[in-house]
Amino acid sequence: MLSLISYLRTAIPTYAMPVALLIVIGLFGALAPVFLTPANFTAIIYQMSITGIMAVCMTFVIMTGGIDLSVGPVLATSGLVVFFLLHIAHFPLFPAVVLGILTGAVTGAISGLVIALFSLPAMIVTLGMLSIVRGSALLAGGPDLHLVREQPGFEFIGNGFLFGIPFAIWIFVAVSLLLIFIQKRTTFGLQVAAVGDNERAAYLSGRRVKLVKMMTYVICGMGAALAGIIQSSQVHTAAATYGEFGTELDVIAAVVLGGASLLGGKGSVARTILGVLFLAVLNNGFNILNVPIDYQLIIKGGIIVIALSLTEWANSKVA
Amino acid sequence: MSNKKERAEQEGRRDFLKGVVLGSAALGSGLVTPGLVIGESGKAMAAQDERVKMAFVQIQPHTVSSAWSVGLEEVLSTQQTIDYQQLDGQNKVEVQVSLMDTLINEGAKVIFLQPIDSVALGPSIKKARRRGIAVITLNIDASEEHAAHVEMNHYYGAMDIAKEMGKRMGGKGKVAILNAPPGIIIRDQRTNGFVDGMKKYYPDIQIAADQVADWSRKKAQDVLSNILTAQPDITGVYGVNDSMALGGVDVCKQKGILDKMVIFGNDGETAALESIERGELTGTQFTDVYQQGRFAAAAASVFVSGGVTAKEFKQQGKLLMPYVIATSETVGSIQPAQRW
Repeated sequence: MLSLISYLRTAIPTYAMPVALLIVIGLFGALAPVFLTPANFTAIIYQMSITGIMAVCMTFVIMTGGIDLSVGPVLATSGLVVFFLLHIAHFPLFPAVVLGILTGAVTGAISGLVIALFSLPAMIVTLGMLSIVRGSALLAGGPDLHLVREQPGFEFIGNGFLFGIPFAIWIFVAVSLLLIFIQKRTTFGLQVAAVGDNERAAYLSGRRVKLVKMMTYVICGMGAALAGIIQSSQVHTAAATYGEFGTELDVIAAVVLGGASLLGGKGSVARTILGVLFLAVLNNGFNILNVPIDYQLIIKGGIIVIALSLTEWANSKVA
Repeated sequence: MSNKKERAEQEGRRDFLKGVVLGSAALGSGLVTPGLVIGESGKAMAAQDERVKMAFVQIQPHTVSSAWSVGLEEVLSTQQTIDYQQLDGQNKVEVQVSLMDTLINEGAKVIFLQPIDSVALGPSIKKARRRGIAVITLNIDASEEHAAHVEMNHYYGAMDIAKEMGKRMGGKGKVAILNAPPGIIIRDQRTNGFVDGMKKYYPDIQIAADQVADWSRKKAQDVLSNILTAQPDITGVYGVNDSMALGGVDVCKQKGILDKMVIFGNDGETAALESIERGELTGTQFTDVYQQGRFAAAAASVFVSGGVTAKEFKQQGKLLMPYVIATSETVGSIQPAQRW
């Protein structure tokens, strides 16, 4: 009996999410066979690409024991920046997009710098940043919707197809692969895990802890900015009010569902993708089955709580 | 001799200090109560041109609330005696409650309110009424009785949308509703009006799906795409606001089925009107929200100048805004100055 429990404890963190995903896919497939079509799977990946990019980029932040609550306003701001650069400053597409992403990098760098230098709680600093960025975006763009007109290149980012697959999916795949590579094959990836696991030990062993922490926020900011550009392209508008309250919670939920610990140390980009996929599959299935919103909220909340409880139980030490 | 001189100097200093103290007191009273002037008898009396404070507490920055504020300010600024300000509730009930408290304590005469939560703002509204402050809600009614409510005609407008939509669908077919999250009264009014309208005018049309898309164009794209995967025979889409309806347009364009679809929104924002003019969105309920702000401001100005306080209302007043069901045939009648 004890050996079964300890086997489950070792197996759950590795297999719980893929198994749960397969069960949910099987259930939805049985209830609505159309769910299992390749076109629907493509739609699911397309629909998760924005949250997915933000989630894979936030994984490093959470692995260091931090959090970034400012992703929503950063998403809105980058869309606005690109809109202004294209429509008002008449920049070509490529530099406009690069500068839009840099906006996110700068925001992330400021948050990261303050958190790392002054050892302040990430939640408080990024909450403040959320307010500052939203306020700045509103100052620049007002509450109005800014229609993106006659920008075929920009439209292509969110709505175009490459080899029959939406371009947004290609971007998501590219960002994910890059981050998986960084995590698995670079010293930075190792340092992120080391800082999250034991910051003092990492510092005493000569790691540049502050720089590593700051860089995780830069990556997170860039991810949110890229997501904002894709979203603006998909909805043909930019607005300071996009990335409304709740955006950051969806992203954090996906990362945590992927097995990352909010206390730091644990996490994986690849598993975060599973977390995002899990939430996207649920949303897609609920829409296909036309499940009323009250049931959706109960089921989704229940699944998240069960999944997290199981993972925590499995990760806790055997008494 | 020297004693006399010292005494005279001391008296001089004392007179000077007395003058400073009295002068400061006089100045201070003027600073503390600038609206009061000293009369001939030395008593304070109210200034003839007393300023009146009014404020609009919005949910959060948005195109609709900002257009209301433009309309409000336009009328209130002409009255010459009204100080108006727009305040942001930051999409948080507690912020709106705190703003209400501040305005009540500051002695505002009228508060225009777009409540986040129809019930949670009740105690603040009650407190305002006890102090005689008129609360005028915009679009979202509150459960607590107050001076007046000025709203877009959600229920009857949605009924008219159903009527127009059913006509264009030939009286049969399936419709998907892209809905708002629960918890806000206009969601129910706009949904119930639409559903009741369909039952009344075109009972053969089936509401085949009703899914939440969070007022968002992006979310609406995802939700409608999923719905159409399961039910490709849906030919009608009703977005409870224009953003969601435009998300529906995006999906149908991408799937190449836009010409077979009848898509209606609600609100009448500029992007929706332009989409109708391009022949994409079928229609929307247009309300001149600048005018809505002006109407609310007009009511407030009359209350205040007529000396009517909130305590004197027998029951809550209500004003439903006129509207146009904007379609390709009617959208041209909406003037550029009315668009928001």
